[in-house]
Amino acid sequence: MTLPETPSPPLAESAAPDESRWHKVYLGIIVYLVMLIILLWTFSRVFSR
Amino acid sequence: MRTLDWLIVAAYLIYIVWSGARLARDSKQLDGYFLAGRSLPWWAVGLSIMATQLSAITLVGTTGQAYADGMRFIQFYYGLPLAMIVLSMTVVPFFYRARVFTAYEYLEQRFDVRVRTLTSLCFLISRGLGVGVIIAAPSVILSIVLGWSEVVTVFAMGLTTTAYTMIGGVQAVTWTDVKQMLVIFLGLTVCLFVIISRFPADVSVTDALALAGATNRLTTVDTTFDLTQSYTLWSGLIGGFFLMLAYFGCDQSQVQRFLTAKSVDEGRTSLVMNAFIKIPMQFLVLFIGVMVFVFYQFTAPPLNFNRSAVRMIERSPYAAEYESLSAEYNLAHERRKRAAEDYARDAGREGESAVDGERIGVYLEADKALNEVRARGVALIETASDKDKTFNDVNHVFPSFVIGYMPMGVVGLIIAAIFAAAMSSISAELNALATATTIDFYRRHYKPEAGDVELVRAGRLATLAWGIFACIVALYATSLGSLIEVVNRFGSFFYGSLLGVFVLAFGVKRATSRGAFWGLLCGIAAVWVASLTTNIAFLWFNVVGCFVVVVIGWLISLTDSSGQSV
Repeated sequence: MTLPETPSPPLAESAAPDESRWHKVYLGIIVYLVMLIILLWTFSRVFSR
Repeated sequence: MRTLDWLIVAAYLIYIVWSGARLARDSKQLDGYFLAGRSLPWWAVGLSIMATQLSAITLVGTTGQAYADGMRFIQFYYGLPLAMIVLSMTVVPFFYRARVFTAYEYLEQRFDVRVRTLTSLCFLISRGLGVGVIIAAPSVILSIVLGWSEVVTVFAMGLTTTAYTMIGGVQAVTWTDVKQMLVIFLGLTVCLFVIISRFPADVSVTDALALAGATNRLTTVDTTFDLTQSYTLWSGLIGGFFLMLAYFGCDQSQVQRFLTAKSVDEGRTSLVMNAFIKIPMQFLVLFIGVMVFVFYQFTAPPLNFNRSAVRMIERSPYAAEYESLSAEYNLAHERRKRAAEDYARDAGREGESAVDGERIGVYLEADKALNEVRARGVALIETASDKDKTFNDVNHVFPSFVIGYMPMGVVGLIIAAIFAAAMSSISAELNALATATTIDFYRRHYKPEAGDVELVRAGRLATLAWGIFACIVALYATSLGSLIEVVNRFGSFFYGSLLGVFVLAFGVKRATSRGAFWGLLCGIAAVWVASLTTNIAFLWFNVVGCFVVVVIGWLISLTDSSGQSV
């Protein structure tokens, strides 16, 4: 029995899910940086004169 | 240092050289020697990236800076996570898929051989001199603290690192970086706990933070927009972003780290790891410096931490004046100690907000009086040493504290950590210098037909030559303090401009090789002029250099009728 040939997805399409995963990681870094700066700012405010 | 400490330092040095050199068997092919066969996991690459960036002078200098000025230096790193995102999206896949050995090799694919050679040459000159400084700066400090001659400390760092880098190639660099990073983390963590345990029994960590906060040493976010100030939120986010882009994306010593990763994704993950860990790690380093400051509220610090300078002045005609200043300093310390104890006790008992303003005022007045005497001590040393206006003892604070107050074994561990920080940076620089020399010059201009065996041999010889050159520069630099500053400034002329060339390569379709070449030269010239005619802080040089290269390069490219595109 011969299986019907399934065309492979175009390159850009197959790479898309991977790139979107990376975009989530980048967003995570930005959120992390903002939170870190807020945390450090709070830290210095709490203990400053 | 006692016997156990010497044994720990010796064991560390022997183990690192042995563990690096044994990787020679995996480094017989060109790809293996310079890129580890593109086989390394993300966590090893990530730790190697961090170890390369954390030099001994960063470790020792930033703790000293936190002691003297507080934690504001942390803002320098705020642009780093953003730079990691941009590099992960652009440079990593571009370089990885171009199958290049050096970042500059890519520029020949994009522009021409002139641009590749010029950028690689800029790297070799600035980094070749820079690696000498990376050896010199901690060597001077360790020689004073350990009582060794500078020649011994320079060779202990320079030659041992050259040996394993030459034999084991990039595999040795990366895997020793991983071990060195662990030694650094361990050393720093143990150090922090020991410092805190040395506080007086009635002083808690909260009290310590209250004292540090009272003197503004816990400022980590400064929203002032002032181009002449080195460390603000904006200089860190904008200037730091450009510097980190240039350093991690255009400097071969960092590019080579992520080119050794198994895949594009592993390379990206190594940068993401750096984005998450770097700021907390730098916080730890700076926090240790602040805790040393608190420690010296209750234990008398020396008038000056640079033992060599103190010995010099004690043998000079200014000895009596210095001795009288020391006595005055001790009295000022006693006053500040009492004020600190009162302030910390009240802050701990009632909460900081409940401490009355008068008590804070008494403490700050005592701190100010102490600093004034200290400044007079520094001025006297400057006078005694023929008006050496570059003199400061900030880099001596941490090592002198470690030798004076850390218990047996911990001293050895922390000195080993300082060696580790120095060697991890030196090895990556030597390996990158050898790679650029072999690939961008030897193979490209001299022997294009050379095979793997010959190129690996050339790489080893280049590592040896750069190692010896770095040691010679280091020995020379140790006797000329101002040379260190000159070399650092010299290096900062190139970073932003090199970044500009890569921005043209990746982001400007119309950019031509003529535009990139002349744009780079104009960028370097612009930074040089800016450094002579303005007093903007050095982080902004990177923005200036990059901007000039992109604008001039783009304009020249527009006039180029051949109109080269990506």
